Amino acid sequence: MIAGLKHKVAATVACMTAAGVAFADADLDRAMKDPGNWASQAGDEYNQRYSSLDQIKAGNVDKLQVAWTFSTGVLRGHEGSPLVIGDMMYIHSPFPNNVYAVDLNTQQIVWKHTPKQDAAVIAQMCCDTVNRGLAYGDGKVFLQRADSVLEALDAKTGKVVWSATNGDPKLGAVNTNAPHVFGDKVITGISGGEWGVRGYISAYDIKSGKMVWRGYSTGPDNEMLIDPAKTMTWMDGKMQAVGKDSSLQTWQGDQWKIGGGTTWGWYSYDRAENLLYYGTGNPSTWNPTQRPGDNRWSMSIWARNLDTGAVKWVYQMTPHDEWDFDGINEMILADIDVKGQKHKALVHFDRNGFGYTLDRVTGELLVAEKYDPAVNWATHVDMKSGRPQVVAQYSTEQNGPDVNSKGICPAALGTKDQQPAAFHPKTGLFYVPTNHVCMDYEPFEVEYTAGQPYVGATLAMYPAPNSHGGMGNFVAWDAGQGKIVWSKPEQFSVWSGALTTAGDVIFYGTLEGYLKAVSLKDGKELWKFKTPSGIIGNVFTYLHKGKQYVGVYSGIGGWAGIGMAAGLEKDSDGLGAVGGYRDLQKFTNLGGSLTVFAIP
Amino acid sequence: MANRMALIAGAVAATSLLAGAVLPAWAGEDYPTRERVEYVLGCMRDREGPQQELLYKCSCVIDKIAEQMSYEEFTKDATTSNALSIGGERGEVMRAYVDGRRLARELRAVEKEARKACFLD
Repeated sequence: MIAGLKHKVAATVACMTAAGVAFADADLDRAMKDPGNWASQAGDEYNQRYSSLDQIKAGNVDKLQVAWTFSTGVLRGHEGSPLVIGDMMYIHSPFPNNVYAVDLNTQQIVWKHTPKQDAAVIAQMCCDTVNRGLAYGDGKVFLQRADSVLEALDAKTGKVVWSATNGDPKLGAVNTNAPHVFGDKVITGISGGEWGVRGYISAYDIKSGKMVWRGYSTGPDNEMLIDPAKTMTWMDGKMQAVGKDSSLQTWQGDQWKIGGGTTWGWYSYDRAENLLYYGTGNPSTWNPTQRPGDNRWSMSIWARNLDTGAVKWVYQMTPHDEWDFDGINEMILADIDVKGQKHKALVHFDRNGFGYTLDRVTGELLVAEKYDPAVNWATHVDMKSGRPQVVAQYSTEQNGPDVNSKGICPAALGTKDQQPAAFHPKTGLFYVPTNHVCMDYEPFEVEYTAGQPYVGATLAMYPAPNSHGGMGNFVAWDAGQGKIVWSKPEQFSVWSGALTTAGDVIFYGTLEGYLKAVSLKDGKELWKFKTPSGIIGNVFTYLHKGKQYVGVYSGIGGWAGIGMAAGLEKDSDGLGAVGGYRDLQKFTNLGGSLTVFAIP
Repeated sequence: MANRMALIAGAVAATSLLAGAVLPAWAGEDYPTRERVEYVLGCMRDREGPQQELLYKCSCVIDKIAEQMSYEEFTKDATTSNALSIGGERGEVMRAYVDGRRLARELRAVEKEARKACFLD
């Protein structure tokens, strides 16, 4: 039955493009309603990464076997996950951002898209040439290329329907984020905080590719789409209007123009409120003494009207960043009990080590607690002002330039980076892949040069001292109380996104390459399988012909050493199994790979 | 299978430096077949030479490694070693990881000795 339904969805893809829908994208809506699909990167608009599929469950997950694999033919880090709509799977790769549409009936390539991008872009990417995946809607697949070009591809043929240039890569404005389809808009952000890019988020019309609005993270009110009298923020224990020049007042001179606040994370959308949620990254430079002030609105959580970009509320987590604690991590929407009261909540695990729970309608701050006990740079978040209370010993600002501040927890990569957490509606808890790493941090003076890295700090890192000796944890978090429910130690930082399922299993990947299934109840390990490389991608699941599959990318980047080789077949075998793309042979041997599992 | 082939190769390499070492009780037993096969295939494809000969030599190498370190240690060292070359911030965490380079060196030393003992270069 479900397989039949999926067939129908796939068949309607081509003729849906003409359907005039006011706000919602009917095509994507239909695809998302079928739990057999994985139609968006998080599986839904709430970023919950929860699947209602339950064939694979705690009682049988240890029977999982490899069902099929696919090598992307590209080295470098593989983040995000494929999408599944009907019988088609859409697979992406790091730079040069190749896209493959694979027929799940035959596992053959139906079309491929190989963008021609200037290799000079690679040098403009601070943190490996990753790409966090595709979006789907209106019969199109959306690719946010590294060189900032946003492309809409016909889902049936792979032909480019429209493309839009979202930034200037020569100035370091590049992209790693996945585009997100909400309503009739394609939302995309920008990277380049380390290059002094002034961050923004943009909405493109899903049909024409025309930019509908763009909201900056810093600068004059009108460019941020902030209304000084209407945009609210948390001040003195209540929501208040931000007032005039709320950003300009917090920067010295023109520094906001190169102020960072980039937007490369995972966005979410509340349809009832018509609000888009996302976070902004670190202010440039990393040397805090060079940019006095709170540096608004870097390091903030934003709620914008999807149609106009108007900011309803904004909350800055880390005013005047001294540690590179970008605020871009995913915003998870869930309706949960918070301290005894039901809330339409937004939950966010920040790099700064605090797990935040806000009322997503009003923007009120409800909970801000450490989700790793090792966090020491601040004692707590003052709930009245909403500001973290910085410990002088760990303040790179107070210690000054050319002083090595030692033992700061977490390290610059944060207690969690972009690797997304998941929510399970049954427990009401969040399952969080984390880093358990501390650092020594020494800022130094840097000059800004357009198109050049603008960092200004040297760092040393190590596993959190006086703990289990490992560099990561997988944590179950009660966002209503701000408490860790259980924590499973990991040898390495967990840089893979989690998946929860109705089968009461949680999946995540590890740097060793293990895909792990753990019990929803207590985190007990139920099954693991070592894929050919480390996992920094996100686990996803789908149904094909009535059978549940679970898959994940592996590929960490770096050189291909032991256990890194994904396609171990001889050169002469090439990609024979996945269609007649013989020209791919020579570079499919050591690429990152997708491994898909099922119960035989 | 892999073990038996390695025994043959091991007999040929009678002067193995590792031969005299006192081996812990677990030696080699906890390496999954998949890991050994993957290692052997990777090792074979990285080298020129008669396939059958490479099969013996590469099998010998992973078995020698397995005698020297538990699978858990091997996984930890190999992961660290690979992660040192990741681009960007994540790689930086591993490069600045105090024990990282030591673990990578440890693995390289064991591999080097194993290759020598298996006539593989």
